[in-house]
Formats: sequence, structure tokens, C-alpha cells
Amino acid sequence: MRYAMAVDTKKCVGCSDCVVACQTENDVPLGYARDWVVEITDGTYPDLVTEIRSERCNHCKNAPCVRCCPTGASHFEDGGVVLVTHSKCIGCGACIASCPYDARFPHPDGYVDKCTFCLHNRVDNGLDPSCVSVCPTKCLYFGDLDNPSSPVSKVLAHRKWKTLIPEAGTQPQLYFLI
Amino acid sequence: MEITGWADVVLPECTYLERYDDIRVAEQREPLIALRMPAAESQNNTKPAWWMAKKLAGKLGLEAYFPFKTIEEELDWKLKQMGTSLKEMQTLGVKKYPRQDGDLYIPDGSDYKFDTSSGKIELFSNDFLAAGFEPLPVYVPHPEPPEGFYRLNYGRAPMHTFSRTANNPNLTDLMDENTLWVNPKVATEWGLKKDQKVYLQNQDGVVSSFSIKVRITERIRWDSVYMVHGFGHSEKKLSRAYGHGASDSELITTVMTDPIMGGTGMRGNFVTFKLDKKETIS
Repeated sequence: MRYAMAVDTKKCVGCSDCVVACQTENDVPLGYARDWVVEITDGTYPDLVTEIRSERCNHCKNAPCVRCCPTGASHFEDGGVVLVTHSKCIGCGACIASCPYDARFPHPDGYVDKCTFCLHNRVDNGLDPSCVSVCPTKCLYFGDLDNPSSPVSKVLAHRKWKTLIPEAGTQPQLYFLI
Repeated sequence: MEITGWADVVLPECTYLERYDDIRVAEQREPLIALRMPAAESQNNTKPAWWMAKKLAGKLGLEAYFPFKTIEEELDWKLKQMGTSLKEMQTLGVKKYPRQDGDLYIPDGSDYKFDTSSGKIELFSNDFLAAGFEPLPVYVPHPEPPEGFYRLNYGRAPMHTFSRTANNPNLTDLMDENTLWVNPKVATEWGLKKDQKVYLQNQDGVVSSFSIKVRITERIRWDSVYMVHGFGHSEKKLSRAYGHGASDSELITTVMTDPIMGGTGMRGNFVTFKLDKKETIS
């Protein structure tokens, strides 16, 4: 089992519904976010290309945050999902510094927080992560890469895609359809 | 939203997710009815509009026009006239009915008369000619910005709905002010820096009440500037929105009207940067 997500940059309109859904589902305090939207424009007017991406933790196969965590709070869960055990986290911030994607933040309650793919609150119950379930353009695909008929496997099989900062060697599991 | 401040009495309505509304009826492609029912309890003693109307009618001695105790009772009666019931619609949500007035599209080869004087689709309109208008559309150049001014374009951000969500805590967390999109060429000409706060003045001398941060981007032409509508609120009770960004509405003092169909165009306003005006709020 290998959970992964694909984000269709051609369909995302940057509405941030994924952000609000995540904040609501996971009780993320206002002012913080586990997912966010990036808009990048290249070119000179009028020859422009804009890419919009809904970003979050990349749940890397080779996760520097897990490797550098001194207490074992950051760990791999079933399906390769990277989670933080709040009670074990001392808030040292080593993981925040090590993440090339800036996906982690210090929660005001004293631990480091990030995207969980909604593993235990939704995915274990057969539901999609909250961001996937609310996306109005259905630009997010989630599922098991070991299952060729999962939504994420199917879309990655027939679309061009990229990952972010592959040169960091983290083997990210967040795929961007281009 | 400031308009609420002018009201003597405010009747706070609950949101559409917290109330029953009248039956939705669609007649076009596929005739159908739909039930609009609450998904959550209403909060802070807000009430649905039907409830307010019924209570007010009671005070005015007009109870007879509201012959029902609850909206459920009224909806159930209406739905029963259509061969269904509130109970059934609560399960179905949407109920389709067969079309009764023929084909949706004009059948091939049929002798159809359009609602024009010739009965045909008219590219050259005799009706327009008779009314003293150009029978064919004629290009009329739109007004161009004077020297040093830029066309004021406005639009929407996907996370906000008009101006009415400008004080919503979740949505202000995503976007709590608008920015003024400025082409890099214009920014260089005026010496504008990213996030610099500027006031705007329009062609009629109206100066924005609040400043707006400059966003330098290739995504705007050099003869225009752009801002998202719905910001620059002047009501201090809007604690998250007050003074955040500038209001496009305030700077739209010229409205162009199409002489034939009366449609309005509000993108014929021009603004310049008023760099000598100092911040009035921190």
C-alpha cells in the first residue's frame, strides 16, 4: 500500500476550498494551514503561463523530517503516510527546517503539525481526504499507488506529471499533473 | 455591507443551509422540482425569511394570507398538488417530470417563425432601423485613459462572494485585503514598489478612502490596473474588513449605458496614483 495524491494544475482554479475544508475537518487554528495554493506566472505580458497548485505535505518516501526527528514523533504510518505523534513532539522544529516543501508549522499547542492525508479521521473509514472531497473542479486525486485501479494510479498512468524539487531526493508522493 | 448601517431595524436571516425555502422549479430542458431543506440548525437566533414574513403578517392582521403553522406543512401541501410529498422529496431531493410542451429544440425542416418582423434570424435588424438605431452593430471606440491614468478593471477572487464575505473569519484568513495589479512597466515609471500602499484618484477627482497595496505583475496590461471587488469597507463594526484594501465601487463614478438594450458598462473609469496622500489609518 502506498498512498499518494495527484493535483491537476490544469483544473485547479485556486479557490482555496481545499484549505478551508482541511482547517474545518482537522481543527486547524485560523492563521495556520496544512494545505495552501500557489500561483506562479511566467512570461511577459501578453505571453503568459500561469500554474496553480494546491500544495501540502508530500509524504515523501525518503522523508528528511522523519530521519531528523529526535524523539520519533515524526514517523511513517501504514501506506507511507508521514504523521506526527503530538504527545511525542517536543516542538524542536528540526523537521520544519529539514522539509524542502515548507509543509510543516508549529501548532500553538506546542507540537509540529502538517497534512495527514486525513488518514485516521477519513481515509481509514473509506472516505477521501477532506480537500479531495470538497474540490469543486475535482482536480485532486487520491488513492493507493499499488492499486492500478485507484483514482491516483489511473490519472498518473495517462497524464504527464511532475513532482516538486525532485533533486532533493525525498521521493515525494504528491504529483502535479501538467 | 455598509448599507445595513442605514437600517432602523435589522432582521437577521439564517443562511440557506439552515432553512427550508420554497420549492425550486425548473421548466427548461427537463422539468423538475427540487426541495431546499436545512442541513444544519440555525445559529444566534437567526430566522428564515418565511418566518419573519408570517410573524409580521400576524402583527398587521394579515394571518389569513399565511394559512399554515409550519413551513413543512405548507411545503407538504404544495408538493401533494404535484403528486409527491415532503416525506418523499426529503428522500429524493429532486423529482423530474416529463416535458409537456414538445421538443426542446426546433425540429429540422420545420417552418419556425422567430419573434422578429421578418420571422427569421436577423443579422440586419429592420426593427432597430425603424427605431432609429444602427441595423448592424457598428464598432464605437471606447474611451481611452487620459495621460497618467489607467483603466480601472475589477473582478472577483474565488474565495470571496461579492463583498458580503469580506468579514468572514475563515475567508479573511485566506484573503483579507485586495491588491492593485500594476504592470512592471507602470511600476517602474511611477517608482512603485511591491506592497507599497497607494491611494487612487479617478477621472472625476474621487480619491479612495483607503490605500491599497501594489502587486507588480505581468498579468495586467500597462494601460490598466486591476483590483478584486469587495474590499475597502468603511464600517468600523466590520472588524476584519474595515480599511482593508480599496473599494472599486467608490471609484466607479461613470457608468456607460448601451443605447439599444440598456446594458451598463462600468469599466470606463480611469485612476491615477495619488502618492502625496498619507495614511489615515494604521
